[in-house]
Amino acid sequence: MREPDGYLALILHAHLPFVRHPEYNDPMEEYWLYEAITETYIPLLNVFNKLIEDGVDFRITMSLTPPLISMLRDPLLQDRYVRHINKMIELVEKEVIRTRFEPHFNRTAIMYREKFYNARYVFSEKYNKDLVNGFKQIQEAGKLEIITCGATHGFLPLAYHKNSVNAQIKVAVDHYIENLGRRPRGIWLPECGYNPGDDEILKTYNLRYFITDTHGIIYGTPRPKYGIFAPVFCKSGVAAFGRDMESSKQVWSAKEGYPGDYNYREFYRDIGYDLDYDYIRPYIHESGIRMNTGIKYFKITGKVGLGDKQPYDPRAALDKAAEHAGNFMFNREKQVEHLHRIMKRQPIIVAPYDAELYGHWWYEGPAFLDFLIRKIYYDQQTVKLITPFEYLEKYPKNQVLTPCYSSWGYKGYAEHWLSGENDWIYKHLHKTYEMMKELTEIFIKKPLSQIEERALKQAAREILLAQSSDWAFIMKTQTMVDYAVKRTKVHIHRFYRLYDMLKSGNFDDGYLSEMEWKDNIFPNIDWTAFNF
Amino acid sequence: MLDKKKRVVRKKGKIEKQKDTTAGKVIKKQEEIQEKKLETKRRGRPAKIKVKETIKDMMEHKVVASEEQTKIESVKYYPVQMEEKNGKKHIETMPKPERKETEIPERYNDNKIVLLARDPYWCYAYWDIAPGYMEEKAREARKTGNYNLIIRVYDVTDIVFNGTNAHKFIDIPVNGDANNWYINVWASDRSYLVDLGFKTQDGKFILIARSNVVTTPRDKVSDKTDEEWMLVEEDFDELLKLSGAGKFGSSEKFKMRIEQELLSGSGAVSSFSSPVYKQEAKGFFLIADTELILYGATEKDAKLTVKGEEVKLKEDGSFSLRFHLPDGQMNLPIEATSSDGSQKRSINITVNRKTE
Repeated sequence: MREPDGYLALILHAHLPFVRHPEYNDPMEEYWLYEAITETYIPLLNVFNKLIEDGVDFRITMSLTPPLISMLRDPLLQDRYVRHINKMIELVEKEVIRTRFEPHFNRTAIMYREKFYNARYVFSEKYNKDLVNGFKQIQEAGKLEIITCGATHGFLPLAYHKNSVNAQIKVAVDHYIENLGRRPRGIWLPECGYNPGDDEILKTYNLRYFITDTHGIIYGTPRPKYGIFAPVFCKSGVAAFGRDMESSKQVWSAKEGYPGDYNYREFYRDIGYDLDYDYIRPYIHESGIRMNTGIKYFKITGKVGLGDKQPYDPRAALDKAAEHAGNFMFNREKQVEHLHRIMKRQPIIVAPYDAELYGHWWYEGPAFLDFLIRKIYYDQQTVKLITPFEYLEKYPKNQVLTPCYSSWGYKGYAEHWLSGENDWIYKHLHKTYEMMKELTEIFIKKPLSQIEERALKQAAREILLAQSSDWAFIMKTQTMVDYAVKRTKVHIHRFYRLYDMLKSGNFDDGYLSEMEWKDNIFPNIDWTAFNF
Repeated sequence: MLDKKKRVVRKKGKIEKQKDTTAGKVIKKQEEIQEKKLETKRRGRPAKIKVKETIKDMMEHKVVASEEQTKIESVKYYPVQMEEKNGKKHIETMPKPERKETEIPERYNDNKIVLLARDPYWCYAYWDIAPGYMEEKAREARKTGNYNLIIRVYDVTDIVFNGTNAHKFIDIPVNGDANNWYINVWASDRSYLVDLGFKTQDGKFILIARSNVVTTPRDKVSDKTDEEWMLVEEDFDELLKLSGAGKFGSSEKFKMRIEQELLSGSGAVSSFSSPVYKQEAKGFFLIADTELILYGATEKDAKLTVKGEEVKLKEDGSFSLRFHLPDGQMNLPIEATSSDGSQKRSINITVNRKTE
C-alpha cells in the first residue's frame, strides 16, 4: 500500500460532570449518564469491537475524563443503570405491542427493543458493568488512544492560582494510571482552554500533547508555518494540535452539518411527553414529572413544528449516514491532497468532537463513524487514520511557537465561563485554592492523624468538584441552573467546613463520613497536589 | 398572477444591476491587488494581505459556529425536562437537604482585587474590600473635597511595573457599591494590571488595592514569521517506556524517523538542537554525545539522495549534512544521478556507535 497523502485524527471527548447522589432514590441528573451509556458509550464500543472483529485497522483518540471514568466504575451508578435499562426494556416491550397496527412506528419500536436488550447484555454480561474495561481493551488492541483531561474538567484559563491547574492535571494523571494501567500520553484540556504557560505543568507530568482550537495555533507567536495541519511545540516541548474547522463544521453544525438532515431522528420528540400520562407514568421520573425516555419515533422532517414531524425510518436514516460518511471522506481526501501539495509533507487533520454528540444528539452518529472508518480502510489510499501521538513519532521535528490563549467555547475565549450569569463563582473558587494551599503548607510538614488525612483528602475532592466547568456552562446556557448553582455552593460550603475542622482540630466525624459517602470521587487523591 | 410576474421581472432587473456593480467592484479589486503587488515588488516584500483577510473571514464564521456548538453541547445536560413543551423551566426534584449546605460566605473582606482576561478586549476585575479599610481610605480622600471610586488600568506589557512606568493608563469610574467590573481594554495581546482607588478633586490617586497582571489573547495572526524548530527527544525513550511503548511504535523506529527527518529536512528547517544525554550532573559531571557530519561533492546539476531522500546541493555541487549520531548502526546509502539520468554513482557508508 502506498504512503497516504495525509492523516486524519478523529478525537472524541467523552465527559460528564460527576453526578452521583446516593442520598436520593431517583435523581434526574443521573439520567445524563444513563442516556449517554445507552446512546453513545455502548454504541461506540460496539462499533469499535465489530471493526476489530472484521479486521478493519483503525485509529481513534478519546478522552475519557476522570469524572466519567469514576461514574462508570461506581457500583451504585452501575446498579442504577441496570435498574434503568430494565425499566426501559419493560417499556419498549409494551411499545412493540402498542404500535403493532402502526407499522411506521412499530419498526422503530423493534429497533429500540434490539438496542436496549443489546445495551443490557453489553453492560451487564459482556463487561460485567464496567465499560471502562471495554475501552481499555480497545486501547490495548492498539486501535484506541485514551487521553486524559482535567481532574474534574476545570476551565484552566480562569484558574488564577496555578496550584489549581497543577491539581487538576496531577490528580487526573494519577487517576488515569490507576484506572488504565499506564501513563497517559496526551490530554484534552477542558473546553480546549489553554493559557500560555500551562504547558509547563503538562510537561511536569510527561504529557506529550494537547489539543487547541484553530485560533490557538493560527494566532500563535510566531506565525505557524503549516497552519493547523502540523503540530507545533510549545517552548516546554509539549506539542499542540490545532482543530480543523472544515471537518468540524460538517458535524458540529446543526444547520449546515450532517446531523440536521431531515431523515435523521428528531431529538425533541419523546414518548415521555407524547403518550398518555397513566400509560407512561411508571417510566418517567418517580415524582411524576414527565421526562425523556429515549424512545423517539419521529424524524427531523424539515423546518416544521414539533407537531408536524413525520415518522422515523431507521433504514433510510442509515442510508443517509453511509452517504454522509462517503461525503466526509471525499472532502478529507481532497483536503489532504491539496495540503500535501502545498506543505510537501503529510498533513494531519485534527477533528475533535464531543463524544456524546455521536448517539445522544446525533442518533445515527455511531453508525456514521462505523461507515467512515470502513470506507477509509477499504475505499481509498489518500488519507489514513492516525493518533496525534503516532503523528509525533512520524514527524518528531516541529515548529516552536507559543499558542494563543483560547478555548473551543462560544467566541473562542473565556466568555462563556465568565459572564453576568456565572462570574460570581470565581471569587469563591479562587478563595478556596488559596485556603487549600494554606492547608497543604501547614499539614505537609507534620505527621498526620487518620482523621486529618481523611479531611485533607476530602477537602481536595470538594475543591475539585466545585471547579467543574460544567456548572458555569449550565448557568450560562440556562438549562438546569438551580442544580448547577447548588452544586457549586455545596462543594464550596463543604470545603469551608473541612477547612474549619482542620484548622481548629474539632472534627465532625459524622459530617466528614457523610461527605466521603456522597463525594466519593478519587479515593486515593493526592491532596499535596495543591502545594504548588 | 400578472402581479407576481411583474415582481419577478423587476427582481431580475435588480439582480442584473447588482451583478454589474459587483463585477465593477471585482475589476477594481483586481486593480487594487495589482497595485499592491507592484508596491510590494518595489519594496521587495511578499504580499500578506490576502492571508489575513481569509483568516478574518474564518474567525467571523467561527463565532457563529461556536454558538451552534454551544447549543449542541448543552443538550448533554438536557435530557430530563424540556422547557419548550410547557413553558416551565426545570423543576427541582430533590428534596431540600437537612444541612444548609448551599450557604457560603457572601464576602471575605480580604482587601484584594483580582483581574482575569476574558477575551482580546475584555478583562474582568472583582474585589472585596473590608468596609473599615474602605472608610479609612475614603477619609484620606475626603480631605481635598469630592472624590470618586475608580479603576486605573495600566498597560504593563513587557515591563516590571513599579507604579509609575506603565506604557499608558486610563481611569474608569465605577459605582461606589460595585464589587466587580468588566473592563474594555484598548488592545489585544497586551499585559494589564489594575489599581482600585479613589481619585480626588485635585487629581490625586489614593490606592486601595492592586491586582495581578494578565495578558489578553491575540485576535490576529502574528507578524513574527521567524521560524524556530525543535526536536523533542530528550527523555523520550524514558517517556515512551513509561507510557507503555510498543502499541504505537518503538523507540528504535522513532530514532530512525529522526534520522530521516534530519536528512530530509534541510529545506524547511532553519535550525535544530541536538539532544544531549546527561549523566546526573552533581558537582563533578561529564556530558558526551556525538554528531555526524556527512559531506561530499558531485556534479553541480546532479540529483543526490541520501537514504533515498533527496538532498539539495550547494551551488558548487558540494553537500554537507550534520545530524545526531545515536548508539547503534547507521547505514547511509548515497546516490548521485546525472542531470540527464544517464549515469549513476553510489557510495554506502556504515557508521557504528557504541557507548559504554
